[in-house]
Amino acid sequence: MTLTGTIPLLRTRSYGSLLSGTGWLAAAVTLVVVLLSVLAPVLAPYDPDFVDLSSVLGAPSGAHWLGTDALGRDLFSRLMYGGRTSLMGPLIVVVASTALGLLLGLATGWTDGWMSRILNRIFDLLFAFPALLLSMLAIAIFGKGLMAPILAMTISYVPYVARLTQQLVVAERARPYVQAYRVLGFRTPWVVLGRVMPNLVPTIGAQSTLNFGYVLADLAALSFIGLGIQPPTSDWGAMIEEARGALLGGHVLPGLLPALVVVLIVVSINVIGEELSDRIGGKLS
Amino acid sequence: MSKLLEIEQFTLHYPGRGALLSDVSLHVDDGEAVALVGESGSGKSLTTRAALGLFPEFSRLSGSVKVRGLDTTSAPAAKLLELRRNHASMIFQDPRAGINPVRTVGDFLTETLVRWRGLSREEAYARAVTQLDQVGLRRTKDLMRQYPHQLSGGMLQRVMIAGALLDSPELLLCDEPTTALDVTTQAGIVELLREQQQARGMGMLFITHDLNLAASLCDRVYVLRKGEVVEHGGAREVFMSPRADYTRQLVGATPRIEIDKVPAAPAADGTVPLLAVKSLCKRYELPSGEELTALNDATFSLAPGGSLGVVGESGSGKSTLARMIVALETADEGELAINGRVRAPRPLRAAERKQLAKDVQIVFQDPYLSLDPRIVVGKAVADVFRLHQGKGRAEAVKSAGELLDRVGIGPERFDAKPRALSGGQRQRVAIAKALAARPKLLVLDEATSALDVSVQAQVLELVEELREQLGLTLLFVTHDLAVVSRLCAELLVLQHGRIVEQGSTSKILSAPTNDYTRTLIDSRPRALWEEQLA
Repeated sequence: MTLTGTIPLLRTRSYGSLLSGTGWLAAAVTLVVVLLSVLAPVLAPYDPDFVDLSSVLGAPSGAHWLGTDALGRDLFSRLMYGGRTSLMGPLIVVVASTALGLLLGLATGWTDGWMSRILNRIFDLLFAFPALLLSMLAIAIFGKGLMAPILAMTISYVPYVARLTQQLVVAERARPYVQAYRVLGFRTPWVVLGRVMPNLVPTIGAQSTLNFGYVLADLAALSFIGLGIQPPTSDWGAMIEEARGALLGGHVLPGLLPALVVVLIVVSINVIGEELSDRIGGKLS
Repeated sequence: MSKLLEIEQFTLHYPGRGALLSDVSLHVDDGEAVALVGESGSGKSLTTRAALGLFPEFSRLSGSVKVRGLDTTSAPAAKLLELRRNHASMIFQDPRAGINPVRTVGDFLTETLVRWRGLSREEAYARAVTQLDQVGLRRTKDLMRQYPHQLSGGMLQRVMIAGALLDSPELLLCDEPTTALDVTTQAGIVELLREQQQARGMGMLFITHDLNLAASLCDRVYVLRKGEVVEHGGAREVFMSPRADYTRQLVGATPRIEIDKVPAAPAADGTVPLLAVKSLCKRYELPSGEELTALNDATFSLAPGGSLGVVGESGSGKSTLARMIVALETADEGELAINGRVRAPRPLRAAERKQLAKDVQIVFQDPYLSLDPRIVVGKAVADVFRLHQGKGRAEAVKSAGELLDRVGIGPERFDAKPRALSGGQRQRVAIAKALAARPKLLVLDEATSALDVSVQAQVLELVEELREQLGLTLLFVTHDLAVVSRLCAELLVLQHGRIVEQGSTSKILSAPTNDYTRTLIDSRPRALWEEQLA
């Protein structure tokens, strides 16, 4: 029963860099958007809620780089401030669902008792519910705003992380190195949390990066239909909704700009997420 | 007619890795069996694949690889296709990887006949059946309707050989075709290959890392090391009086059964055995609902300071036994006592497991999988010291350093992750990790079978040394009788989950009483020249 692996026919290996050229571009775009949003209070030329009825629906100019909206508010400043709420929501959802999903996935993957069976059926149930629908349900119960959709989104993204973790854990549990830890007498919690979990984090992180893009788009959609962030707080989804009137009057920019930013950031994050999971997934297998 | 296979000063450069083959020259004549011997990474497979015109992408080639005068390094695709179809066939190490699992054996064998040779379905079917008969398979008509997963590894490899022979090749390339098989199965396949090669007058290039196997099948040998041919000549000359240092080293490292070198068992003085196993049984339920008895009624004991070899082929239950001893499996019936303490017949609690760890440790087969990929080796060993010796961080690191040094891992490697180490180094680290728990019994589960012969010899030497210095008791699970003869005073032969023979190693090896044991011993490849003498 000798095992001498087949000699690989030299697969082309990627040297060094974690991302491709496109990947780095996406990362740069993401970084710029995040920085502009975080530093909005310092960098923004105007108060995003300052109404100036003397320059309504202004075209881009030296004073207003990207023009103004129907209430004469500076679009550039609103986009920057909008990023703070639009990015904060997905960030909370992704962090919370990753943490919770990782723990539940480890628990259900490692043990095989009735608890994990019940949890698994609950995951199945949640998979059947679209995240947006669950969010609307939460909004109907808890009222409009940021909290209800964040809660609902977190709950609906937990199963995705948990299932992935579960699959990885089941594979990992059978590996000789984990069995070696058991034979050496290390306690299970130490092995699972201290040794196995860190080995899974890169893969889970790549999946969560992808989730960020989906959640951002979903939250923007909720704001667009008026169930998310409420005016006057600036938010990309809400900005698109507010600009509908202007669009009918032939003013494209107030609606187009936030839409472009949403597309740009979602695409960028998906590119990064896809590349990360390809690279890391490839390395693990 | 031009030479069958003629490789001249063939060099293969791969960007970033340098020359993987340099200046390789070899030839195979019609009707000749030639072995290409070398350890992993020596370029054996690259050389063979070159004969079919298969080169790694982006590689730079120079020199020539000619099959019947066709230079595969420059031949157009159509010519190469013609070559592969009509002149050369290849048999791979893992028959399962080379066959489509959702199609029947019949489909696999008749497809090329119908599609490329223009035979009718009936003719192709008849030829395939004849060919299957010829490679020694029975019930061939049923076999044609079966799927690969229904066949054993040995049967499937015979099917693959039948497939390769259907094209009536002039050149048969064999890439470690028996490495994944048991010794008794291997003996049959080798016999078959020799028969067919001689009957058909084919040229054969046989790749292997096993010198004994090469000697049992081939007249001429090329020894390959790091992409260079270091020695070539008649098999007998090369192996009996090697000229190159490397060949000498290889020959010396190849394990042999040497009965006079079997270690002595400790004197029986009525002490409590370290390991006592009574009527141990383990059954598994198969997906089909059937029950498989992996281990049946095993009884034996092992005195402190003793060494026991557990030998058997795949499916004999030897690994199950090893895993039960270290409590990775729970027995269904019977009793297992370590140091006089009888093990409870249930999964162990954390405290019991920790206690057991101080008595028994295991080293697994594959050092590439048995170390945590993320943890540097110094820390991996120090963790065990902290757990079992209750040492502080600094002290544990110091002890780990001393132990690693003792198994031959220098301080410059303490901060290396497993992937930066070679197979032999990893297995040394795995041994150090096991020893850090200060066990009395060390179980080695095929611990050297994934290693190259020269590395295996070094690791075995280390185990011998450690046994003497630390007074370890050894239980060595393996398929290789030669390894056992060197390390173990006592021997236990398993077949289909039953112990068929047990006793002193030298006695069993020199005068086996059981038929299966005899088959195992006889199946070991013997050099052609020895056979001619006998």
